[in-house]
Amino acid sequence: MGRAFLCVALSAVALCVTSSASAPPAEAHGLGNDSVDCTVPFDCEIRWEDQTRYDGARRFAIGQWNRLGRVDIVPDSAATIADLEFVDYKDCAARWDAFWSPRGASDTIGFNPCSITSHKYSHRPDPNAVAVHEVGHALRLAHPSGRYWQRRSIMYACARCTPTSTYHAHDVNDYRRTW
Amino acid sequence: MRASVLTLIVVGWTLIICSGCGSNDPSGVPRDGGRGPANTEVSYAFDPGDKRQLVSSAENVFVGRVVKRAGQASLPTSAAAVRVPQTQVAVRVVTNIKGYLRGTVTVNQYGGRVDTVVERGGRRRVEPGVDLWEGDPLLKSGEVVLLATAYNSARDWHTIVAQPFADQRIRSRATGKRLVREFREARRARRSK
Repeated sequence: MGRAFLCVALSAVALCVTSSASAPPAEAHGLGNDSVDCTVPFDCEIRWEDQTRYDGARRFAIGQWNRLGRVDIVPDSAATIADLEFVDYKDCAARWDAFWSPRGASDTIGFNPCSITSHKYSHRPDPNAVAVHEVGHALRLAHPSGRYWQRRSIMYACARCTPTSTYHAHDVNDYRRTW
Repeated sequence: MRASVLTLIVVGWTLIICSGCGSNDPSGVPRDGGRGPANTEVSYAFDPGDKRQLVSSAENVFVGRVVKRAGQASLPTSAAAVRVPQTQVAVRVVTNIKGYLRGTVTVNQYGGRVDTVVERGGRRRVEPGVDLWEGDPLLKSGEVVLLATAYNSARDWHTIVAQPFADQRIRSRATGKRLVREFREARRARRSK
């Protein structure tokens, strides 16, 4: 009987180890929240609606992430509830290009028209990079900490400071670990 | 005996799975926003990890003591239903690092109280919650803070330029001295560039 309990205990340890191995490892950068709606496992989507003037950037970002294929980012319809809303919020004293905010029924990506196309900073404006970054948050990707990531992740806290307008290999790995 | 061992193993695994140890639901975090603060993630227009850029992007850098909560604004966006919460505090200026502020000024911090529409069982209801930007806690009375801000003339308040990099709490004399030295050096380095 003692051996039986030992077997159960060992099984428990084995299962927990297996389970944690499939979770993102320490170097992965994941948020505790996202805008994704999974009705059944492996059938995940983000339904979005649009109130922004930055349609080009929004289209670019959605196209980029949809290429990875595990979460469908598609427009809202009359028959669905939006998971994510693109809006503009102008604040010329603020120094942010955009934000993603989890807000219950529908999350928000907000662009700041005062800075997103502004040339007054060290790095040139890149609305496409900013939109890819924010949709990355909607997909549960977090900011990596440390300036090491400036050249290696679109999820760096300043998207326009990164060298390309789209995700890097590390971001793709984080996405695939999450979805 | 062998059968009972197998039964125990099966029962054990079932219990473990049901208890959630093996759960890997990608959307397992509650989305209702009513339990704990919501965390807004931001992409800045400059590199907030670089103090020189932080100082350069700010109009004022100073150390101040939070006197009291001065207001709360929930400002409209291009979508009627979406608003951006912000909280204002009165701050007494102690030391200027960049700029020449005097007396007590109003500092604006993104984040604050937000009412969230929650759906449960097909019903919608409003739950009060708190929205924090980059997890930056709201400033409290009595706190001593190093702030890097930009002035909003329409509202006569000084907005923190990058939370939490530009509102650093000073909890000891040593921390205060170090922060002031680092930000002064960053300003000098930027000027001489």
